[in-house]
This record gives sequence, structure tokens and C-alpha cells, in this order.
Amino acid sequence: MKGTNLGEFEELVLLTVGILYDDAYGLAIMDEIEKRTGRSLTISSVHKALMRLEQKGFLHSFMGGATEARGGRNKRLFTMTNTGKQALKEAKELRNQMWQAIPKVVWEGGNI
Amino acid sequence: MRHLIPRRSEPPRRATRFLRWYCRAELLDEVAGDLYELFQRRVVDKGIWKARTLYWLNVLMFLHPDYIRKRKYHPTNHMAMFRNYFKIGWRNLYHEKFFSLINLFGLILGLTCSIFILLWVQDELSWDRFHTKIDQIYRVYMNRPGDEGIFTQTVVPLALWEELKSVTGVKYVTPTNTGAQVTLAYENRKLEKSFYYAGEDFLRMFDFKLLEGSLDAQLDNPSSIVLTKSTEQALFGEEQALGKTIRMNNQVELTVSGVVEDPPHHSTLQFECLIPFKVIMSLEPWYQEALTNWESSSFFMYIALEDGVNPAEVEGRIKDLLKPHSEGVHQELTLFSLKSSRLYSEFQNGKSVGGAIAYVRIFTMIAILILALACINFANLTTARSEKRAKEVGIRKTVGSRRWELITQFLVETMVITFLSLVMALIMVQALLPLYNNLVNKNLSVDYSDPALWVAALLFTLVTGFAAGIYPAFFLSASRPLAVMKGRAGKQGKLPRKVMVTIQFFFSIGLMISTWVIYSQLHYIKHRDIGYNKDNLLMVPTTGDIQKNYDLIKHTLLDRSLASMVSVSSSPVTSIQSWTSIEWQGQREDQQGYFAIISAGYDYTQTLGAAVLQGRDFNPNFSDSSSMLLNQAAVDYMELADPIGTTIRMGEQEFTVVGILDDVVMTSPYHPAQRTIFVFVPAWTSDVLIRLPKGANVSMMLKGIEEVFKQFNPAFPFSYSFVDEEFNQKFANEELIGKLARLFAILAVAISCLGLFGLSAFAAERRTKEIGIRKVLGASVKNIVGLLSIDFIKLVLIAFLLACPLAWYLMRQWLQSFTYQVEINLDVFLITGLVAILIAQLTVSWQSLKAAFTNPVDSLRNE
Repeated sequence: MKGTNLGEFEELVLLTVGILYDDAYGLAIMDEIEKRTGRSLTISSVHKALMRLEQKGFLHSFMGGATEARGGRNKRLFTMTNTGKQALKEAKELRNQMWQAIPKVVWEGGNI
Repeated sequence: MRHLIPRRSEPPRRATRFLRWYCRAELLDEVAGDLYELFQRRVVDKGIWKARTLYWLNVLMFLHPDYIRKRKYHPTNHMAMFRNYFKIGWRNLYHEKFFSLINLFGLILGLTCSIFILLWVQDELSWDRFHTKIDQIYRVYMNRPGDEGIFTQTVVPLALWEELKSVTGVKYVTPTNTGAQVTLAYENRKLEKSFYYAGEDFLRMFDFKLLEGSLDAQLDNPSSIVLTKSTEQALFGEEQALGKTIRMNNQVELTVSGVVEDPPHHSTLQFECLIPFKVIMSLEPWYQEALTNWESSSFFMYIALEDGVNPAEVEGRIKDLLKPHSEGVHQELTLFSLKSSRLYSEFQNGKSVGGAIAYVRIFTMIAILILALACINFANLTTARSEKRAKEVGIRKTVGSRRWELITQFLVETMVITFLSLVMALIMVQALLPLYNNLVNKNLSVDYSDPALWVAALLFTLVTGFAAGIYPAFFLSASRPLAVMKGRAGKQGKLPRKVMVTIQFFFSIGLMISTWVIYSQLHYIKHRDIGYNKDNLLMVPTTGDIQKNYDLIKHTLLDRSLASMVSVSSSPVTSIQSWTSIEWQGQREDQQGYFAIISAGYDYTQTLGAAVLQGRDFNPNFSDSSSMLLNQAAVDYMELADPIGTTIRMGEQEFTVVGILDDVVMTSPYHPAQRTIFVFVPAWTSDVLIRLPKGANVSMMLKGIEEVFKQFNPAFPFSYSFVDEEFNQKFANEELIGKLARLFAILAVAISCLGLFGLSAFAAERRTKEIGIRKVLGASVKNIVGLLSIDFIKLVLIAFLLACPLAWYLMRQWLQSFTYQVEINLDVFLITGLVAILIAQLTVSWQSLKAAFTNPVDSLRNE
């Protein structure tokens, strides 16, 4: 299996899928990330990230929810797989550990 | 209120189509959906134009390997489909043998005919092209004022030769005479051969390959001669000719200095030997004088330009070369490309106005036309049978064939058939080529080793196949599967079919009428009063001692009753060789035209069978050395009220008119007789005229006459020609056109009838049941034949009504070019129309009768 580590952007996307829960599809995910981060994304980059995450087994997808607003076309709705959840947790753990490893003095502003 | 809701804007359609084309199917929906949503949002936020641009950008940004359709996962089956097309095509051909044969036969006829015509056209266009410098070779013509505007003559003074040599831009110059015969003798062999006097540049300018001898100083020696290969063989057999001496005209010994290839058949310069001008100059002082004589124009002049020289510049330089030598008369030299000299030989007012090229164009048109007729046949029969194929089309469509695939299928089928026909047509051409060569009097051949031929054949197939197949392909592929399966197809397309049949007969009838008019015009001209009796009249050129021994010959011939009349003249009866200007009392300013001049011997009019209208013929009882005869045309031109006794001055000499002859047509039979004066100069002769006794055995007479000439002119072979044959030669061109037009008219009719035959068979087949029921209900054979024929006869009738005015108009145009025109009678049209309808009726009847005679039990039994 191709590297299971999460890139920064991938982590964002994965998190957003979790946030949106039952309506996580490409455009909605892009909107959510843009709203929360203030970054400007292109739709194709989101799609590509989703595709990669699905290939890594972090996401599961199914088709559904055609509306007139989409010109009658289906959405691909994403949910997190257990591996995905695990990967997010691991990433958070890793971060927490690393946070704690930073000496307090760093935060207290002492200069060397 | 629906119309008040603003219409949703749609994203750019092209971009969506592009996306749909490249994007993987399973990903298409989500991508397209997202893009659509995004687009709609942007339309509101940013306006339609920005939204559209961004939509495009987004579409392009999805161009990523993961999103692009993997085409290798969809194996295309083109090869398999093509194989299938061939298979189905072949089965169809095989299954429907009758119609396939008609289709094939029509195409083969059309193709064969077009190939023949194109061979002829190609040959006409290839004349003289074997000269490598053809683009630089020009003939020098002379424009001078004539009776009707500027007259362009092809002969110029020999004196130009030296002058032209020094013109910048001119590389080679050579004059020739206009062609004549010479007697060559080697040991005991004596042959009459055609020749040109040629200048030393001749062989450098033209590509007549020198087989023996060297090019240096060739044709520059006053005692040399160049032979063609076949002349060498005829004269020397197996012996080597180079360096040997032969005797020319029993006058001078010449050494063979070279042997050239025989001129190809498509060379305008045809000769059997070349004699240097220097030879004749040393023999005859007249030629020596011609070198400085600017008055007399009797020679062709050819020049070759240096590489890259603009002919217009050279023409400007030579234009006025004649000016210092001609007082008063405005004569100009002009250049005319050798390439065009054959097909564009007619001049009007100093400008080329075409010539034989018109026939080349007409025949190319006819070739295309006949091919079109064959294509129409094909299209008609194929669409008529569409019902049979409609089920196949329906099924193909149901299982997913697209329209263009069906079109390809039918086109491929047609191409295969066309190619088959082309191969057979080439075989036909090969088989019939000798006959055709005989007809057109050419030596045409198909050069199979020429790649251009095969490229042309391929193109021919493609174009013909496309022309024949495109309509059926669209027609057949258009049928809707549902309608077809329910059996409701094949009714459409009747009108186009009718139109096409009408077009076919329109052309065929038009060609028939034209052919008829051409023939009646020819017949009319041939049988018009030419002023003398051309049958049983013999001409013998006065070579060697004939002129000296003329009186002896004449008396011997008459004594042995080998002739009923004998005379002599300075030109053959069928042409005029000399022209002169004369002066007379009461001549007006506008009467400066030239007169034909002929020296006639005693008994001239009686030998010819021409009438003396007033006065007398030359007569031994008078002294006629200053007598003159005029023909009626001359009297009319001079407007003489009482011509006998008129004094006429010619140069220094004065003549008295003693007789008026009826007009004798000597030059073109299409024109009135030339105004002619006859003088009595016994030393000026070219032909002995011999009238054979009535009812004599010609070959016996000829034998006797030959003996007489052998006796009095032993050094020369006996040669002769019959006046009527020479006269008929003048029609060679028109006769050929007539023959070809007739052939093509017959072919056009045949092809059209073939189509009609197929269509009527089809109609009869379709209506088998109807006919059966009609018969059961009491219809007679006549009724049924009428029923089946009337549809087609109507079309032929319409075609006839359309063709008549057009053919009449075109033929009137053609006849306008003749002075003597045949009347186009109404019966030409009536008879052609009747014949066309009769032929059509016969064609249709075959099938109608078959249908009408079928026992209704057979046609109705199986249901």
C-alpha cells in the first residue's frame, strides 16, 4: 500500500469530510475548507485529494443526491472509513506528543 | 407565469462536450455536477462571462491522467467491422445476382467509355510534350492585315533566319519547309520519303534522339542527310547506313551523317529524313535568293529561348523585324508556344481563339457525363432496393450502429463494386483498344508501369464510388429502425429516383439529337455542289522528268485508253498553293484582296468536269500565254459586268480574260470557293490530272498508267492519289467527331436503358401480388403492360420535352460556325423522341410482359 501518511491538505479534506458528515461531496468540501481556512482552492485539487484518500482506503464513497441545482447529476458522497478515522486519530496523537515535547521555556518567550 | 422565471444559464456547451469526451465515465457525473453547481453560483456572484471562462478553466484543470478515459480499455473493432462490411457486401452482391450484374455492367460500361475518352484527351494534351525544352520553344507567326481584320499566318520569310539568330534571348533558331516528299535511292532501292529542310539547330532544339552520328555540325553540311531509324532500315536493311552515300531526287549524292529515332506519333513534326538547308541552297538558286527575300513567306520558323527568358520580352524585340522590309503594309511577328500550336490553332484578328481544344473540352465533359449516368444508375437501383436492406439497417441501428458507421458501410460496399468494375473496365479497354485506335486513328495505349496511372485509377475509384454511393448511403442509413421493423419503409425516395431517370434520358436524348445534327451537317457539306466531278479522278505529282515528257505521257495515256481526259495544273485539285494580287480597270480601294492563282494545262475544265460559264478554256488553237480565266467568285468580287476581254495586270505582265469558269471548291468544303485566276504557264506544274474512263477496272487502269510513268520517268517511283479520297480527308476531323458522338450517344442510351431495365424489373417484382389480383379480376396482358410502363414512359417523355430546346439551341450554336448550314428539321426531334420512347418501352416491356404472363396462382399462392 502506498504511503499511509497524511499530507497537510489531505488531512484538511479528511477532517472536512468528518465535519460535513452526511453531505460530504467535492464542492461542499471545497466550500467548507475555504470558509474555515480562508484559502482559495480549485475544485480539481479537492477532487484529486478525495480520489487519493479513497485509494489509500481512508474514504468510502457512494453516488446519490442528484438535484436540479446540479443539472440533474449525481454527487459522490464520501464517508470516513475506520482506517480513515484511525489515521486522523494517529495524526492528532502524533501532534499532541510533539506539542508536549516542546519545552515550556519556548512558550515563555525566553531568548537564548 | 412560467415564462417570467428567468431561464437558467447553461455552462458553455463545447466545454461540457469536451469534458464528456475525455473524462472517465464513472467520474463524469460528480465532476460535471460540481462544475455545474459552481457555474450557477458564479453566474450569480460574478456574472455570466466570468462564470463561463472559469468553467472552461476548471474543465481544463481536470485534464489529469486519473480523469482521462483509458481508451485502451475500449478495444475498437474497426477491422472487424470492415471485414463485416466486405462480407455483407459480397453476400448482397451474390444474393441479388440480377441487380448486381446490372449495376456492375452499367458501371463497367461507364468506366470503359470514360477511360477511352480520357485516353484520347490525354493523348491530345500530350502532343509534343516529349521535347524537354517544350516550354522554351516557340513558333514565329506573322500578323498582317487581311480581308477580315488581322490575319495570322504560320509561314514567314526565310530571310528572318539570320536576323533571329542575333536576337538576345534566343538560343536556337531553325526554319523548316512546310513538308514535302523526296525520292531517295540506294543501289537499286528507291523510296519516296517525307522530309524537312532543317537548320543546324534542329536536332539541338528538338528532342529527336540521335542514334548514330554526332550532334556537332549535324545538318550543317551541303552534302549530308539525316535518316530516321525506319528509313534507314527500309533503305539499307541490315547494313550500316552511317557514312554511306544515297542519291536524292536523282539529282545529288548525299552522305548519311546521322540516324535519329522515328518521331513519336504525338509529334507535330513528322518526317522520314532531314535534309540540311545548305543542300537545297546549292541546288536551287531560288532558295539561295529566299535568304534575302522578304516578300515571300513559305517557311515555318521555330525558336528556342535561353533559360529564364521572358517570351514577351523577346516578342517585343522581334515584333518589328519585318518593318524595314515591307512598305506600307503593317506586318508584325508574334511568338506562339509550340505547346499550344496544335490545339489552339485558330486565330481571329491576331488572337488565338481556340481550335481543337474545344473538342478536347467537349469530350471531357461527355466522359464525365457518361460516368454520371452510370453513377445515377447505381444510385437508383440501390435505393430502389433499399427495402431489402432496410431490415439490416434497422438491426444494425438497434444494436448500436451509428449513422456514420452505416454510411461508411455503404460507401465501402460501393467502392468495392466500383473497384471491381474498374478492373473489368481496364480489361475491356485492353481488349477493345485496337478497335478504338482504328476508330480515332491514333496509337493509344495504357502504360501499366506508370504509377500515375494507378494513382489515377485509385482516384477514379474513389470519386466514382463516392458519387455513386453517397446518395444511397445517406438514403439507406436514414431509415428509422421502428418503421423498418413494422414494414413501413421503401416508400420514400421515389421522387429523386424519377428525377434521376429523367436526367439520364434528358442527356441521352440530347446526345442523340446532337449526333443526328452533326451527321446531317456532314452529309450536307459532303454532298454540296463542289463544281466538279471528284470520282475517278487521279492526281500524279510531276516529279523528275514528268513535266518535260508531259505531252508524250498525255498522248500515250489517251492512246492506250487509260484515260478519258488528261490535264495538268500547278496545284492539286484539293488545295491552293499560290496567291497573288492583281490590278484591273475600275478596281476600288477596298478590293485589294489576294486571288488564288493556278496554272492550268489544256483540257483542264473538261478533265475536272467543271463548267465553262462564258468564253472558252485554254486551247491549243490560240496563243494563250497572256490569256487568263477567272472563276465566278473572282468575277463577283471584282464586280465585272462584262468580264470577257477585261485586261488584268499582274506584276509587270498584262493578261486578257478569255473565259469564266464555274466555282470549283478546292480548299475547305465548308467555305465558298476562293476567288481564283487561271493562267497558262506550261513550265509551272505540280500535278498531272487523269480522268479514268467510265466504268473502267481501276486496278487494271492503275497498272497501265504506272507502266507509262515508269517509261517516261524511270528515276522516280510512281505515286498517285485519288481526288475523292483527298477530298474526304478534309472531313477527317468532323467525321471523327461524328463517329465518337454517335458511339457515346449509343452508350449513353444503353446505360440509361440498363437502369430503366433494372428499375422496371424491381417495380414488376414489387407489384407481383397486385398484378396477380388484377389478373384474377380480369385484367388483360395489355392492361398490365400499360400499367407497368406508363410510369416510365412519362419520365422519358418529360426528358424529351426538356432535351429538345436545349439540344436545338446548342446545335444552332455549333452550326453558326459554318458558312453552309443544314436546316434542323422538326423530324429530327420527332424521330429521336419516338425512338427514345420506343427503346424505353421495349426495355420496360421485357419485365412488364414477364409479369403480365405470370400465372396469378403462382404469385398469389404463398402468403
